[in-house]
Amino acid sequence: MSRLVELDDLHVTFNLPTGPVRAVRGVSLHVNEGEILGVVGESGCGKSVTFRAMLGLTPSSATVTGSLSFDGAPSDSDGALRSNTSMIYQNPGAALNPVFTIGQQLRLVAGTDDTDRLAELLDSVGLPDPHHALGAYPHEFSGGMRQRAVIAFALAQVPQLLIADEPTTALDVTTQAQVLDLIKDLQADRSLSVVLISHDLGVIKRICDRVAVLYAGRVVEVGPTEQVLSNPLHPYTRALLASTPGRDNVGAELASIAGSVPDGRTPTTGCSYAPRCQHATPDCLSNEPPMLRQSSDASEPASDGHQAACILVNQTIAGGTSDQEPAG
Amino acid sequence: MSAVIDIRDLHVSYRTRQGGRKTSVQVIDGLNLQVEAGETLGIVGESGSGKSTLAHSLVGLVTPTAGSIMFDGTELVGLKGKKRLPIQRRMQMVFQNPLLSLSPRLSIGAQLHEPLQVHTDLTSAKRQERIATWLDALELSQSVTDRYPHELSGGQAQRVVLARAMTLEPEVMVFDEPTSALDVSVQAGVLNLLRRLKTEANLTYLFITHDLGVARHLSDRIAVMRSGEIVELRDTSALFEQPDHPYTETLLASSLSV
Repeated sequence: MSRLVELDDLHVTFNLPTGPVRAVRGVSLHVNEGEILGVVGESGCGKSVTFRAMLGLTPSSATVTGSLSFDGAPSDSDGALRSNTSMIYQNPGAALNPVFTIGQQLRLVAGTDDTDRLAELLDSVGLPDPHHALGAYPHEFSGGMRQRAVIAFALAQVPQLLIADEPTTALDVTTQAQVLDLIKDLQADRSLSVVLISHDLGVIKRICDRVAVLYAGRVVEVGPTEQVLSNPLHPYTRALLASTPGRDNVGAELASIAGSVPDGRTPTTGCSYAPRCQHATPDCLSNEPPMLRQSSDASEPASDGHQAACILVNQTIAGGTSDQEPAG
Repeated sequence: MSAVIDIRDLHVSYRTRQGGRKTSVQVIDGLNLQVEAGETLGIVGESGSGKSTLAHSLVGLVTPTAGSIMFDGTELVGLKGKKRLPIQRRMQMVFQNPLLSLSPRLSIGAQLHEPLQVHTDLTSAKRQERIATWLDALELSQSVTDRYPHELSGGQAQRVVLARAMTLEPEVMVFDEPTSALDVSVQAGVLNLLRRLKTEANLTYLFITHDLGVARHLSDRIAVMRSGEIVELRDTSALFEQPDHPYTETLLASSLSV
């Protein structure tokens, strides 16, 4: 599989009046052609900022460093990447102009007046009666229909990469499942590459081929979704899974993570999760851990294998369920 | 066990305008529900199903158009003002966004004292004592009283709101999506606290959520709402193992667990 996007050592620092905030601290990621990459993490972990910076959407006061290549060629955020990428956001209502019809807005995005072509776009995202929908205003649509319309807008430019930032968070569960399935179908039909940003591991599990777990502005674990969820290597991923209410912990005490996420103002040394990690050793506090793979993992080092930024990757440690201390 | 809340044939409608004409929307349509003392009753459903309206009519934030809500032998429909005050102390509500339940301009301490001034005749020292106990129980530091809401994290703010409700020593707690705005690791801490509080303080919970995982985790029974009606009400394990109603099946099938 060839890599469509390769992001290397991305740093994003917001220069606020109160001092610099390091939101992204050395994220390296790639997106393969025709895959869905999930990016998961809690608020403030840098998951949205990473991809906004990639598209040049961070404010001019922010300092962005790192290198980016798109389709094999070095790129900056104004180049090929941006013209071949579409992005959809959490709140489809905010992405649509309330005083113009869906058709008027789609016409501008698609650059065509051909009503049949526009209706076809709406049809491809499963909007019923697309010709009628062209004449409708956003407020006449339900949340799920609006998100479908926004996805149609995103596809109008025939992108190679679709970045979906919490696309279903504002939707009801039944609608959420439908929109995720739609993204999956579109990705397969058009061999799109998709980045799906979400705080919800259930959403990631449903459609993502690979997943990257972010914590405090760094990738702490990455790998095939199935492997990361069934055999998490990083203590943070384990704790995150154990704190999610589900089938396995009905009626039991949930594992919450003691302490809180470092805020990016104070410079840290070593592993940023170490202060909250019950397995931390003195070594963890002094050295930033590299991405490691399990020694039993025989796949190619440069492949899409499962790896985590934890020096304990090759040691057997207790599961996240023992992180039983209250959150701060 | 006896029903602490007994809702019979409840109707709630909202007035609205459609195309300039006044009309009304029936949000709750002939709902019957008995909540047993000491249980946690989960209420799940999608947006617009009427679950929040149900909670609001319980605590008196909306006025039902018809029907009856009995709380421990007292009829709540039509009960207003001073007559309602003692009931309000016994039935407290916690909402989704704690920052909308706290005044940005008052210290946390002042906001913790106020309900006690309204509902009890405790002296300032006694109030202080009770507040301190509950801050401890909710794992908040005592110094939180000197701070203002914007200085708190989401999880802390939600625990302050919980502490404020608990100081009144209520019998019933109504929760409307209390953890939906929190990160999952913080949510876990709050859910654990809620479970512990319930046993320690012998409470009855009415827990509204759209998250079936959370509902399953906390509830003894679950009511599934759709279009202002309860379509299914069963013990939690039975509901998940063998849903009766096709809508419950759809909901369960759409829920994304890890």
